[in-house]
Amino acid sequence: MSVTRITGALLDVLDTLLHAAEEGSELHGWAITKSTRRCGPTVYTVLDRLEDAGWVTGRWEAHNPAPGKPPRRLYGLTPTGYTTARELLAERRPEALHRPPVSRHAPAPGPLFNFFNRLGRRLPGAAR
Amino acid sequence: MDLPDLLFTVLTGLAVNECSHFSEWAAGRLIGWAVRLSYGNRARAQVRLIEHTGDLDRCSSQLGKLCLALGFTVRGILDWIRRKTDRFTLPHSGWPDPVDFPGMTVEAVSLALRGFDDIAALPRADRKKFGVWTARLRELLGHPAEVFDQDSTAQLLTAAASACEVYIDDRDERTAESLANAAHPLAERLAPDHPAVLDLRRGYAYTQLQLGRYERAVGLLRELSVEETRTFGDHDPATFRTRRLLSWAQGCAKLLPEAEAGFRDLDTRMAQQPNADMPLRLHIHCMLSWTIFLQGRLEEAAHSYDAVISGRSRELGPDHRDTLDAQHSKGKMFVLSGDGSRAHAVLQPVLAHRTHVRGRHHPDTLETRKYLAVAGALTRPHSARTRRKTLRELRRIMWMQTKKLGSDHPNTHDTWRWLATLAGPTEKRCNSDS
Repeated sequence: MSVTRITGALLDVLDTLLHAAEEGSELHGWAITKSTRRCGPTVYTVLDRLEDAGWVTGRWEAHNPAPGKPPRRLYGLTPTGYTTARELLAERRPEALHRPPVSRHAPAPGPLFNFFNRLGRRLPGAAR
Repeated sequence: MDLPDLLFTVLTGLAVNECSHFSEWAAGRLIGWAVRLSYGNRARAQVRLIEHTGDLDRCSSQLGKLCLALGFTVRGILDWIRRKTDRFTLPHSGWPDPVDFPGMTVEAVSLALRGFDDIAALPRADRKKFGVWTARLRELLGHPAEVFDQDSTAQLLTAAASACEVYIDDRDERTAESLANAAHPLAERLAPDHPAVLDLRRGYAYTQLQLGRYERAVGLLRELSVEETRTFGDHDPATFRTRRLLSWAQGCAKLLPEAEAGFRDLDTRMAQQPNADMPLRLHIHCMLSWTIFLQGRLEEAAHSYDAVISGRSRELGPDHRDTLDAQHSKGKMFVLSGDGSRAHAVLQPVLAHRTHVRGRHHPDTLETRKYLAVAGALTRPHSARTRRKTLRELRRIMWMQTKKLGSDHPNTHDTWRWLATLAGPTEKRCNSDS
């Protein structure tokens, strides 16, 4: 089975999962949402498609390290998903494969940061 | 600060506090609703519900929680609309004509039908999807047989046989029978011992068995079993399903010693297999238990049912259709042997599960309702009120069975016999026309 529509969100999720796989780790839905800076519904739609295509597999963690919290579902690339994601990213986003992986523990810039960042780039005299 | 100002501040504070609690509660409710709308697949919906609830916990602000939940709700509504529109457009729009692209269309239909098993446990939208795919299959079966090559013919027959089995398991034997009849002209294009043809023949024989035409079913299954043994060999697992049905048909046709010997022989053969199909083996044990009961060995049959129920609970889960079937059969056995209180204890939880999973008017649920009502009458034989209540319930069940299954179906006939027994010979039988 194949994923028929290649969207930006799909490439973002694959990029994140590929870097996690190279670090030898798996990510939960919230971490993928934060890392891709996409909204939750978009990320879970992509995860549904990737799971249906057999590129991604999910499993429940044995116990959540945070006390009193329910276990999280961890996602990782399957061998097929890993190969296909590499090929797809090499074709569509070659720079993504050479970029060092972003630590998922680093706080992601919030929407206000993005807004001012975009605004700053549009201001006359801003560095391009 | 004077008193009204103080009161206003306190009340505003309380209201804000309430609202912040309300937004968290509303976010939780919205997530539950969104997940139900988004997913037709129940298992995935449950997984996502747990995940999304965890995501809400991780969201630090109350407003953020509400916004996240609203986002999921919008997606849920869009998914629901897409699913509803897919139902009407998916199998019909843009389909190539099978005359031009026979292989492509046949493969799509056979692949789509492969994933269905217990359709009664599926959400309504997926059940309808199964109906749409079988309608497409029927449309293909209506084309002249020469349109399809050998591979496509075999694929279509296999798809028809598996759809037949799904319908039979859902107690819709008449649809299964008409599907098998529609596939008959195609089956004539292949050799009678081709595996796809054998599958279809088994499906047709199974419909005859479930519709109460026992002698015919015994004849068809005996012939099929001989052919399968010749094709695959005496000990091949491919012959086991037909042998099981043959023994069951013999039991229904009152050939009880042959049926018991058949089940025991099959069980011995399966025990010798290294990776035996465990659900099939439990089916054999379940049918053997009923055959033992019909020969008057009640306690032996009850022990055998207990083993089947615990095996199925372990292998398939306590709420699985087959586990509930075994429990129902055990309860029915106690009713037939006149032990109302034991029957009541077994059937009460089965009815709750079946009503929950399959709905109150599914043929399986109606059967459990019938035997539970009779068990009630057996427990209080001298109560006129219980008798009236039982008769009312049996009449209601017979009316529904006549409408759903037809007046000549074995289940409807059985209900009528109970009514005649409890109400006397004056009880009128309702016709399917009425």
